[in-house]
Amino acid sequence: MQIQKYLDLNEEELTISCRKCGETLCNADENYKEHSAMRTGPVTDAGPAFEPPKKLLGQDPNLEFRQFFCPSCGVLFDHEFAREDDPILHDIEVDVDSIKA
Amino acid sequence: MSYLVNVDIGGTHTDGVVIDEQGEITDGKVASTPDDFSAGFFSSLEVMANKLGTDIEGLLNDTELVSHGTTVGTNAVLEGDDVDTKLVTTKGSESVLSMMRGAAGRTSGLSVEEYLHMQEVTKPDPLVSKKDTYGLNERIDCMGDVVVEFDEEQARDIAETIAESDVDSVAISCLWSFLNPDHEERMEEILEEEIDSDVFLTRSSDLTPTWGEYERTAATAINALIGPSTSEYIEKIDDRLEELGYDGTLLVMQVGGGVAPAEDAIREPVRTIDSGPAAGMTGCSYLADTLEHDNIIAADMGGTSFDVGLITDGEPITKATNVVRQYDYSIRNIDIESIGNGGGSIAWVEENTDRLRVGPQSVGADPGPACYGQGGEKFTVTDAAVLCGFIDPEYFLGGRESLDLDSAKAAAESLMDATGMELMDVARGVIEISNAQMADLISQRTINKGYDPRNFTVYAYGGAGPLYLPSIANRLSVDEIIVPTGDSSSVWSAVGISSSDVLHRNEESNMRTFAPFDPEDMTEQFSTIEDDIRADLESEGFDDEDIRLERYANLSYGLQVHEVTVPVPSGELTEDDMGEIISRFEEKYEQLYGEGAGASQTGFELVTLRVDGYGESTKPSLRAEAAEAHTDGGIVETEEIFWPAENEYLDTAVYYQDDIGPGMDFDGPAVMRLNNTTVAIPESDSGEIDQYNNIIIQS
Amino acid sequence: MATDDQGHEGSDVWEDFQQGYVPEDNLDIHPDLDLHEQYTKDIDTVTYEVLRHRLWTVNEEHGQTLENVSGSPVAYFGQDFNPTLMTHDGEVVFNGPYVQLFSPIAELQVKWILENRSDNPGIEPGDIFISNDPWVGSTHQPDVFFVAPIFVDGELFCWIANTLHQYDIGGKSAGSFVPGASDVFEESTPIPPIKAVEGGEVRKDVKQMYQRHSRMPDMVGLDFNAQVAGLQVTQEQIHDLIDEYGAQTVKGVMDRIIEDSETKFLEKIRELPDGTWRAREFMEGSKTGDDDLYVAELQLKKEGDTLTFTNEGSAKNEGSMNLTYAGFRTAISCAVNPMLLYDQLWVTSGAYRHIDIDTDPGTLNRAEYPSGVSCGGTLSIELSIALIYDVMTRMFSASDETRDEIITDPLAGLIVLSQAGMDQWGNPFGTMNLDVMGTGFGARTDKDGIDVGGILFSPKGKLPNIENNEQDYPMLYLYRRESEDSAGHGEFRGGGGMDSCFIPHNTEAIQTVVAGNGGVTPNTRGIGAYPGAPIRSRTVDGSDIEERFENQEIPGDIEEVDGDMETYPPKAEFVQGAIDVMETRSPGTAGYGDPLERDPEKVLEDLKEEIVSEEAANDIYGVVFDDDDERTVDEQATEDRREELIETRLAESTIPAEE
Ligand SMILES: [Zn+2]
Repeated sequence: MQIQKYLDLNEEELTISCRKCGETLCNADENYKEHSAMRTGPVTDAGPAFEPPKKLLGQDPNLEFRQFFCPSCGVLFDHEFAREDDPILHDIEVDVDSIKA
Repeated sequence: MSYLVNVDIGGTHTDGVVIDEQGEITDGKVASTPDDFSAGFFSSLEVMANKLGTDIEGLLNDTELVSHGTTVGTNAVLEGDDVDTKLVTTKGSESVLSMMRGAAGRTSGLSVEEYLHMQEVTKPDPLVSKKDTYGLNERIDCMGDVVVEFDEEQARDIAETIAESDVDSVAISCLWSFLNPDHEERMEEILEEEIDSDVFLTRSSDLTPTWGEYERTAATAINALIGPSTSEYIEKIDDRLEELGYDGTLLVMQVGGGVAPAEDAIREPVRTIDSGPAAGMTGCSYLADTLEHDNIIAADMGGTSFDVGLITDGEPITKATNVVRQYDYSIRNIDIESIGNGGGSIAWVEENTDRLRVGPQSVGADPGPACYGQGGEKFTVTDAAVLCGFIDPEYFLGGRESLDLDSAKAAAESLMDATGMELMDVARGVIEISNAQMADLISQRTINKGYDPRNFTVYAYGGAGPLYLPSIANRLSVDEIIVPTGDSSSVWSAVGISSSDVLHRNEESNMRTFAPFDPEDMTEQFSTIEDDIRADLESEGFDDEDIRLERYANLSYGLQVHEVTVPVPSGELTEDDMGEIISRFEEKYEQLYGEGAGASQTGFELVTLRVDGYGESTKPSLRAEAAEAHTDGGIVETEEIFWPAENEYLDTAVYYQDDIGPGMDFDGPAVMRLNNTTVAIPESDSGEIDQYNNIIIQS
Repeated sequence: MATDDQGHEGSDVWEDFQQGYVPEDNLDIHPDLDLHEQYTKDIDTVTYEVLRHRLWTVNEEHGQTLENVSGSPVAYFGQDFNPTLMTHDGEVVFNGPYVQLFSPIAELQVKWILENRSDNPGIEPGDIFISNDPWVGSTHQPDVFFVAPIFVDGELFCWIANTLHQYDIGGKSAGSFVPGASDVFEESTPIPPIKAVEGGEVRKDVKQMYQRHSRMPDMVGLDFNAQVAGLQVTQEQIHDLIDEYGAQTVKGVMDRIIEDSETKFLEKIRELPDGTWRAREFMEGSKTGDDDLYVAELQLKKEGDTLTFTNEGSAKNEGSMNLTYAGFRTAISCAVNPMLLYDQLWVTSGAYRHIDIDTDPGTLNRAEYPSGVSCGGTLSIELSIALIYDVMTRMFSASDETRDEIITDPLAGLIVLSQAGMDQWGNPFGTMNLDVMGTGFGARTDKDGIDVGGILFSPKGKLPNIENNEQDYPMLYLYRRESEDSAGHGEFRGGGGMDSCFIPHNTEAIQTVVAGNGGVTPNTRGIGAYPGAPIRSRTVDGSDIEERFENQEIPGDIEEVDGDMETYPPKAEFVQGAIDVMETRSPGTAGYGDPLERDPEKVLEDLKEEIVSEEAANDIYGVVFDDDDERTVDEQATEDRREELIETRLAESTIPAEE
């Protein structure tokens, strides 16, 4: 089943894979982002319209722009802004038991 | 003979009428010809000429005035004509048309259901794209003062660039030009020097000097977009009429009410958009004057839509802006609200909730309702009326066409399956739902705006109006319905055009003028506007006695936004007049918005002054030839007809065109199957036909 | 709390006032109040459709009466109001198409009134209660609810309510929007539901108490009349309907309207797997002058037919940035209605039957008294709506039935600009600039968002004309336009926000308060795409604008102007002097899908319309253009560039699980 624009969840094998290239990323109960190719950069990597946080806040809250790609085909799965120490957000967690049932 | 000839072109039909000196109406309905609308215009003339036993030349020889309502402009803007239009505006304001005032651009003119479906809505294609828009170095402020001088050199460069491109029309619209038109006028002069004379030029301070740059610029851009094709079209008709021997002026219907001579209409084609419904309203006001009705609900139901306008104290209510293709634009227009609910509206069942719905989609002229037997498979309001027995399948449109009852039944089947309803329940349901939607629109137009529908008379017209409006009127407790001129109600917009005077309307925004108002200043301002209008009308050949000037002022309370229009006396104004203007405003405000709604403690603001200048044209005589009176219809046939509101079959009197005439009385339930329309008189109603052939239904 | 002899207690009022009122499934209503609970289920299809349309019209007319009688610019231009029709126990039957935030929580007002006003002072025919208490059921204090019961034969049949944003209802800042507040004591004092109209008669003492809150008692009094008139007109119309169709039938139709919305909601929800979806964003500054970041988290758990929201990990409430339970509750409707219930005319109550809110009190998205909440109707709710979109769009991604309904982004931030001073006509002025309406509108799964499409859940809120603002306030705009590179890049890009640039005009200076969020990082992410651009405000102080005007020059961009450029934090307060040029940027919205998948021709079109810069076209979309006059896409070079970008992506990445 499709669980996101670029992600499938295989109901037999209980894995998550890339819809573009079929690459299997991880088990269905894991955070796929931990198994994606993650690029980390400054906030300004989000586009020409972004300003360095320090310029706006007068201090640096250590924010970063994280992008998650398919490690095989490189398609952009998702992004998040986070402080350096923030864990990778587990934003999609399908209940594996409900699928098996 | 001396005829008045009117042709009203709509999206599907071209309606013509010839009215003779006795008020006898000859109609000519033909299919519209979108490839070249003028073809339909002349074939309608031909049909009518033939009915009168002559040809077009013969008809035109005996014609005093030809008036025309056209949809060419509307079509051009809807379909996005292949026109190369440029916009010149103040630098910094180049996004005025693409931004469309934010959310307004994705919601204006759409129904609630449409604009809430946000997965689908978008802004329309730009009227003029940003790459065709030029920003001028010039700036005027809200006092009309110049902040940045007009940059001659840059303006010349822009004009040259435009001249070098393949341009058809140019719109000029700068910030605050309605207070100070100097910069726009200078830009126009420079463009006139640089570009070909056949390029259509228009500027906002001339077309519509009103506050609010988006709506003003949109009006000017639309005028430029449709200018080339509309003026070409009007010229073509005008020339051809002349070739055929017509030596009068061609008058063109305007959306604000009133007509304009062809040469004016050519400069301001934006005023022809939506002029068809406006013509119907003008006709209503003219008839209301004759019948001494002050308050009218004008209800026009055609094949695809239901239009409602109001006439109060004999005048159609107007509004300052109109909408086309989701663009709000400032051209004063007769305020008509419309929903997708006509004879051709499609009945359908909503998935999952099993609700029976009607409209807003309709089948259009081709293939038409299922009962037309042209391959339409959708069940429509008209199919329901055929099943109920209002329309005789063998005598449709005066027997010119016959209908296919079986196709109507077949089309109902999917609805029966989905809802589990019987055939006649579906038919009843579709008509009841459609009637409820129309009743709700009328109630919104009246109750919402501070009017009690019980103080109004309904004028029901359009091909489908007389069939449904009497039942709807009962629901709204309106106790009188008029089907104007009987069968000609189906071509009422065409009739309406000939009852219009030539209208010149100038408005002047009067920023930040608070009471106490100075009578001398106001007199001077009005006189200036009046002199302009009088000069225009005189140049069009109107004598002093045919010119009528009416003054109006829009006022608001200091901290409230609602503007209310009040009439202003003519001549030299006095302090007393100023007091009178304010007390009229307060009175009307209370009537419209409720007791105690006005914040008089925040002062009074004079927002705009307006003069409507009319050049009186020849009007049709409405008096019918004293036709043989059918006092009670003689021996009347009856049929079992199913009445949806009553939810039962009733033994119903049935009249055909030849059975009726002035002086006749009738009692409901009755159905009149006329040549072009059907009138249904409910059981609780009765009525008569007056000397003008108006069918008057009372409950 | 007095307990009377019949055992009626109501809710725990002082806990409500502390943590926010959360109604139980069974309301504790005084037994002497008879509720009209019977209705017929036997309603034929036609009567249902006719009455459904009629009830919608009655509710819309309610809004119209309100707008008419009020005549206030807030009502008229901002459309900052909404009428609501509810059942006897407070479930929403219809809310109007105006500002969406208000209506669903009229439900809380009604339930609270039923529980706590049914014995004393009692609920009687002709009564009207007023309330703006965010801990009962308001987003913030300026949004004042007027709520009226309608009785049939001695039984409480249904409720109607309306909300209208007030010019000023007290508190330390004019306009009652106090981004600088440390707590609620610097804001307007909340008014819990009190009876202002008794048996059809206005209580003068209550009305005066209410007006006395405000700096503009006249205007508040006028709106008081408008709100009462709206309810009274609607009351009559409902009575007419009941006379015509019978109470059982009208109630039956109300019930089915809610049931239809519930059916639609469940049908779509049941296509989705169970699971948990999470979001994390930031509030930038708890009040004006504070530059710290505060984390806001949200979890959405779906189990069977039930959706449960929690906010583990969210920062404590502090300053003025907070939202009460009521505000959060209504924020949910801003996501559920447009994406799932658009064909039910935004009737959310059926959905609310299956939504639980289990958030922790004392947090910025479930504020405890006495934290500041006057920004609740703007900034704080914006952040919650953004988080709700983030989790919901991800959840909706998991089924074909709901995926196509996704709109990526309601508002990635908000910039509210308050201006005050002396106007060009010699009068003092103070305003919230309605340029705030000029936001982007998010991407859909098969089409782009809408540039300057306006706030998604306020479909009737127009952006003012430049001429409107220059007329009413002492400003002169240098430009207003779609902001370049503001649209979140994607296969289907978001809608871009707006740049507004202006100077004071015919005044010495403008006192300026910028209250914004989503200025450092935007608050929504879209799906598989880039975020929309954040808000921004900056000035060039002591500029050379006068000389430029003298030289017949209007600068095309603030960066062309000479002077001292200052870029402000999202929450700031300063004076804009006569020759200081100011620019604000409203938020763009996120995209849907990888920008490398976008049709290059569309990128070219965006380049020509100045929506996308050449830099973004090359580096984010990987589109290369031929260098001729009529620019065209170089297909081969584009293909190469896109491959190169993919390689770079992978080369610059690591796999966290393998670290
Ligand atoms: Zn892949």
